[in-house]
Amino acid sequence: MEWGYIAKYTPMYATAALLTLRIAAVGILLSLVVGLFCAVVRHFKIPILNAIAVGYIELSRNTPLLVQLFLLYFGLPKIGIKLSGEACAVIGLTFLGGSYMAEAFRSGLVAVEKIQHESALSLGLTNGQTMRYVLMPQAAALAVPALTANVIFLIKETSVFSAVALADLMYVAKDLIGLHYNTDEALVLLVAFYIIILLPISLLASLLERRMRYAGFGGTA
Amino acid sequence: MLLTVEKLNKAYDGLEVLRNIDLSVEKGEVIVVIGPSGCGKSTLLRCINGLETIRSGSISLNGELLNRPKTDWSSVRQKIGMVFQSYDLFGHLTVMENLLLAPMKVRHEDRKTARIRAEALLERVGLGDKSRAYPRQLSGGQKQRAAIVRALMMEPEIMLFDEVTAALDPEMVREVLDVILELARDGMTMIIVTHEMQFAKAVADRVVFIDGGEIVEQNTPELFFTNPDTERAKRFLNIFQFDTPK
Repeated sequence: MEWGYIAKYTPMYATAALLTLRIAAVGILLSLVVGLFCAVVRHFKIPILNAIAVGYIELSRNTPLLVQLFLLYFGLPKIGIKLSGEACAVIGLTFLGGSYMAEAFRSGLVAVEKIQHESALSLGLTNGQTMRYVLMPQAAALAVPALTANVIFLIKETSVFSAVALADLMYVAKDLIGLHYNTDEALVLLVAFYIIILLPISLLASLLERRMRYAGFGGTA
Repeated sequence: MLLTVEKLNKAYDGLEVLRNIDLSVEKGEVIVVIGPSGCGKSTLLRCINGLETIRSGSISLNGELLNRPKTDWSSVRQKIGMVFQSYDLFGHLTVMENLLLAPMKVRHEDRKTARIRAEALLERVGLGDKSRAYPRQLSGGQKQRAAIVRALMMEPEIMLFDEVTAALDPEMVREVLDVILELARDGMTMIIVTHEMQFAKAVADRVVFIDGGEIVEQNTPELFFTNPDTERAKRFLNIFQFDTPK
C-alpha cells in the first residue's frame, strides 16, 4: 500500500464525494416528493392518476437504474433532447427512488387504522385535511424504517452514475486504476469514502427510528 | 324533526344490510339501537353521517336532504358528532391537540377560545389533568371520554355513539356511560348503538330493535324490556337472561 498515493488523491475523492452527495441529496428529496404524491394518489385511488402511478411504479422498480440512465443519456438525444450527465443522474435517481418512496409511504398509510380516517372525516375535516393532519404524520412515522432504508439504497445506487460520464466516486476510482494501476489504493479509498458518507447516515437513521418508536408516533394502541 | 330516515336501503355487493329503515329523531330525544351482531346497527349510523353511501331512500337533517350528490359533508358532519368503538383518537397528537384540530382547521376558531372550551369540557368528564397526555398514555375509558369531548368540541346537534364501550374492560364501561348519561340529561339528541342493556334502559327515550337489517320494533324502554311486542325481540332479550331457560 502506497500511503503517499492515498494522501495525494484523497482530495480528488473528496471532490467526487461531494458531487455524489449533492446529486444524491437532490435526487432523494425529489424522490420523496414524487413518492408522497404517488402514495396519496394510490391511497385515494384517484382515477387516471392512479393507473399512471401504478404503471410508473412497476416500470421504475422492475428496470435497473443503469438501464434508466442509458435511456436518458443515450436514448433521449435520438429524439432531440440532450441532457447533461448531472441532469440525467438526478432524473434517473428520482425516477428510481420515487417508486420506492411511494411504496414506503403507502405501507405507512395502510398501517394507520381506518377509524383514524373516518373519525377525522366525522369531525368535518375534508379528505385533504385528513391526509395532511391525521394520516400523513402517522404514516410517515410508521414508514421511517422503510424510508431510511431507501435513502441508503439510493446513495449506494449513485455508483452507476460513472456510466454517464459523471465524475462521482466510482468514476474517480476507475479513472485512477486505468491511469496508474494502483488498484489497491484506489479501491481502499473508494470503500473508505462510501463508508464515510453512509455510516453517519445509517447511524442517524437508526437514531430516528428509535425516537419514532419511543415517541409512540403512529401507535394508537 | 331533527333527523328523518325514510325507506333507507343499503347493500354491500348485492348483500342487503339495511332494508326499508324508517326512523325519525326529535330534538332532545335519546334513541338506543340494539340488536344482534351484524344486524346493521353500526351501518345505519355510518350512513347517517355519510361514511357509507346508501342505495335508496332518504336521510334528512333539519329537513335538508343529505343523500344528494352535492352534499357538503364537511359542514353536515360538524352537526353530527360521532364516537367509534375504539382507536378514534389521533395517536400522534396530545389530547388537547386532538380536541383543537377540527375547531381550528374546520371552523377556523382561534386557539385561545377553543382551548378554553376544551379545558372546560375535559374538566367535566374528569380529564382535566390529561390535556397534555398522548392517547397511548390513557386507559381505554379515558380515551373514549376524550373522544366524546372531541366530538362535542364541534357543538353538534346530534351525537352518534357506535358501541363506544364494546372494546373496554368492564370496570371502565361505567365511566364512559356516565358521561353519555350526563349528556342525555343536558338534552343532547343522541343515537346510541350499544349492547349494555341496563344502560339502554336507563338512558333511552325510545328503543329501536334491529334484526336482519330491518327495524323489527320501536318501543319505550319500559315496554321493550318487560313486554316487547314482537317475538324476535323476546328471543333476543332472552339471550341476556341467565335465569330463564332458552
